[in-house]
Amino acid sequence: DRLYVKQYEEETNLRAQIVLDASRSMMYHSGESLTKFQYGSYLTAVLACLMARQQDAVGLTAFDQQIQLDMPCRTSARHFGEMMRQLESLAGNLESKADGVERQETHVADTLHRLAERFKRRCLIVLISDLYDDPDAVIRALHHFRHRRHDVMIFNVFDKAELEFPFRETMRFVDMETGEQLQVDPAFVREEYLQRIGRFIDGYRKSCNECQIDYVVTHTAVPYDFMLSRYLSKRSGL
Amino acid sequence: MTFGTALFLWGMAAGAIPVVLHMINRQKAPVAPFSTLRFLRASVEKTRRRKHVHDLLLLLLRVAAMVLIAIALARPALHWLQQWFGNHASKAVVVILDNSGSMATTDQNGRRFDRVTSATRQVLDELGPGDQVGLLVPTGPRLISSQRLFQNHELVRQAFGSCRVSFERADLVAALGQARRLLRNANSPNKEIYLVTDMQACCWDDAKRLQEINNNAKEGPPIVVVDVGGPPRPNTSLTRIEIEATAPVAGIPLRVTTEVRGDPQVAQERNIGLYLNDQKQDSSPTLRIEPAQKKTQTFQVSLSGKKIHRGDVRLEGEDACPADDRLYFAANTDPAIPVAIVKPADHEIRNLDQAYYLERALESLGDEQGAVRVQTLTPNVVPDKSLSKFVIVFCVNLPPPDLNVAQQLADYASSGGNLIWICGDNVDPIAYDSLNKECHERLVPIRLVRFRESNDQHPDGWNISWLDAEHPVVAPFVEPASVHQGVQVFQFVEMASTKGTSARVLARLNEGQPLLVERSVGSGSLYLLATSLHVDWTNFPLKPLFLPFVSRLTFHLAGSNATQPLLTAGDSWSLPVAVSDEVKVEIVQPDGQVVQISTSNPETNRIRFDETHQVGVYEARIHRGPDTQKAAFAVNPDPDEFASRRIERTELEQFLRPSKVFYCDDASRVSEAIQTLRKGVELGGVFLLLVLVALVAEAYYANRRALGPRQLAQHSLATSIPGNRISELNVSKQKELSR
Repeated sequence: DRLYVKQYEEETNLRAQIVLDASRSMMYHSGESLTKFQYGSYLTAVLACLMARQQDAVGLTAFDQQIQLDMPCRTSARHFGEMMRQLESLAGNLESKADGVERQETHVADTLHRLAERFKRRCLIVLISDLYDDPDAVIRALHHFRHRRHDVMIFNVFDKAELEFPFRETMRFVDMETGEQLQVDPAFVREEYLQRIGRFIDGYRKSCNECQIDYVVTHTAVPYDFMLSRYLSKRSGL
Repeated sequence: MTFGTALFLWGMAAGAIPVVLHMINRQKAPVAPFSTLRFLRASVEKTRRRKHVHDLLLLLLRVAAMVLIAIALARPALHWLQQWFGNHASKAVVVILDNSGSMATTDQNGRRFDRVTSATRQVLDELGPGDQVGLLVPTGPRLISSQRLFQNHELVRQAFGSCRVSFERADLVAALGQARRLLRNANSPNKEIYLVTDMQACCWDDAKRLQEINNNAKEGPPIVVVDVGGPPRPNTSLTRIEIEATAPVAGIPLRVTTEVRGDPQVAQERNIGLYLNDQKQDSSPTLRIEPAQKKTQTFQVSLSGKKIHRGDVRLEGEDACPADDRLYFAANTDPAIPVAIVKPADHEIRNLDQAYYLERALESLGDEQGAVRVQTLTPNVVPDKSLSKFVIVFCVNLPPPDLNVAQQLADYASSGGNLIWICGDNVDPIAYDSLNKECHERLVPIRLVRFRESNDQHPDGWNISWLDAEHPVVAPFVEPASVHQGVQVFQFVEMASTKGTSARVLARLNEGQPLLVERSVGSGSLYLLATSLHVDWTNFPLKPLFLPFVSRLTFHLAGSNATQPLLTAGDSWSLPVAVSDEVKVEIVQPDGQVVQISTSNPETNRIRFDETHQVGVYEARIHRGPDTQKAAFAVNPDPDEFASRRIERTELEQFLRPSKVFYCDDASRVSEAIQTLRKGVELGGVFLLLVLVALVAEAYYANRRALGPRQLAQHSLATSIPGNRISELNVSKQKELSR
């Protein structure tokens, strides 16, 4: 008998669940830029398209105070199309109820915990959110995903204004989630604000590194190809 | 500080604009949504205090800029002599012109009074129309009213033109007080005092009054002190003169003693000359006077004739100040001393006349020395006589005189006469006491009590046991005691105790009873001998002691009248007059001018002459009814005025508080000094500079935290995101890619 070594490429199928933050804070945009939700939506579409072409199963979950959209992982093209329609519909719904619904803070961590319980089969969780919640609680929720043996990739989406705080004159800012107002002299608080948000991001980066979660900070002006390259890098490691 | 355009000060209200704008802007802050306030809330909390301080500082800078602009536009200037809004307002000015004796001094810079007049002229020249001015000249004749300010400057200039150096000491304290009073009542906002002086300390001696003036002055107008004192040249001065005469009798020598004070720094050699009626009588040897040393020189001169002699001592040669080189004196001489004896009547037997021994003793003085001229009077003749021509009036054993005679005798004594009472059997103690009370205690020196005569207890009477060793009349007779102890007194009138009175006991009997008592009254004196000069009463006239006693008493009393008063320039000369007297006095001044005085002060019963501004001998012609009497008095410069001690400026400023004091040392540049003080320093530029500083500071603080694009990029977290550096796609391209 002759012994042969067979070298072949076998494609593995990935299950990926895109979790999109649809809270009011994601509706923020500065100037003519996209809202964070729009950017997240487009990123979701791009990622889902890429996954679908790679025969990976992709699902979509969107949440604010509650889970607004939950589509399981599927590979069919029809599923992809349905996903896009649902996403578009969600965007429309969110815009229409922007002013009418009573405002309250979104607890990202609680929703992630619930989702961690729902996703039974191991998959790649792609979280697209601004993560405006208690960082410790969010990290615990992410640990919950890891505990469930899910891989997690986070796209922490900001608006450029949130990262630069370019405001010059005194303004009365309104919290988009709670409606709280605060008069601020940007010149005075800029430095402190940037330090705080920097610490916020660094905290997440460090914690994600510790539990092997890919953490990508982005803002709405960053082109999607950079996001795709990060995803592909992650995908190749799985 | 003053303001040229004070209206702009209302612009300071613009300082409220930043406050109002701040309040408005707070309410109009634009509203913008933000994703979350969690970071902003914490940041605001942390920077709240710093922002508050920053905002306050900005507000203050903005308010300050507004206020300072308003002040700068109001043209502020720092004036030392003008009030807040008095830039163009009228002024009220008082000039105190020190013309005291030291101003006659010539120092290294020239004559001081020349500098005084130059400085004062410049002050007057700086007056504008509408300004009020007062001129206070502390010494010398009054040239212009010191009770008001004048708008007629010409009047003041005329008075100033008549001003001369006096020989008096200036009371600058009083002048300053008057200046402040004048300005207090003035309506002008700008008030100034100019003190033109040579800073002699003696003009500021009355510190207590100064303190009272300062305590009452809540605020004081500024005082400009023009210091005309200069480095002194050597000066020697005559400071004191004393005249002694045994009797004012022609032929009897007069002793003239003068004191000379040397220059404080330089030894001098000088001569002193004695002049009488402008004729040089004597000269001293050359006196070497060391620095600050005092020396005396005595002259003796005999006066002749019945007249007033005008004398002076003079420092020969020249020095810095001629005003203190001459001192004057006057002496009124008579060929004989006129004495009156008033007695009841001549006794038929002359030896039994109570006044016999007295008359003999006095005549012997006249016989031997030609010095006494005796006139005998009776009480009924006295009203028709003018007693003032007698140096001494003896009243011997007079019964109680009529009231008008008693008044006449009392007036005689208090007007400068010497009234000597000699008791006897006619003396009624009770009546005398009553008359004395009617004459206001001016008739007899002490109250008489009762008669005493030798009795069983005192069969030999009493002896003189004690004489006053300090009194010039009786002192020579103290030793040997046997001289006076041999005098026996058999009868006498007991007197009341002299305790509590101004009477002085000159002789006592052996039980302590006063025998001879003296008391000064007015300008004259009263004496009382408790016993008679009759041998029934005492053996005194028969004793060797009697004649020398009468002689000493007579010449002592006459000698005190020998020389006339010595006054200092500015002092008052006064003459006591009786209420009933109709007295007219003419004063002939040293320059020959005659001044009439006829009014006496009813409170003091004195005629007073105050205008002793000239130095020299003044002659007084006193007309009492038909009689005319002559007297003279000498007026000399105030010696302290030439003492040449300056007052320190720090000490002077304490006296001049609360006024601000400015000094001008150059009398020729007073105008410049005044203009500088009035014009002041323009502060508009300073305030504009402050505005600039405030605006720059405000701009800096307001924009310190504003970041430019590059700084924004440096601080932005967005730049740390790699995607930013890969490509710059605008939002519309991103949307296309997503679709």
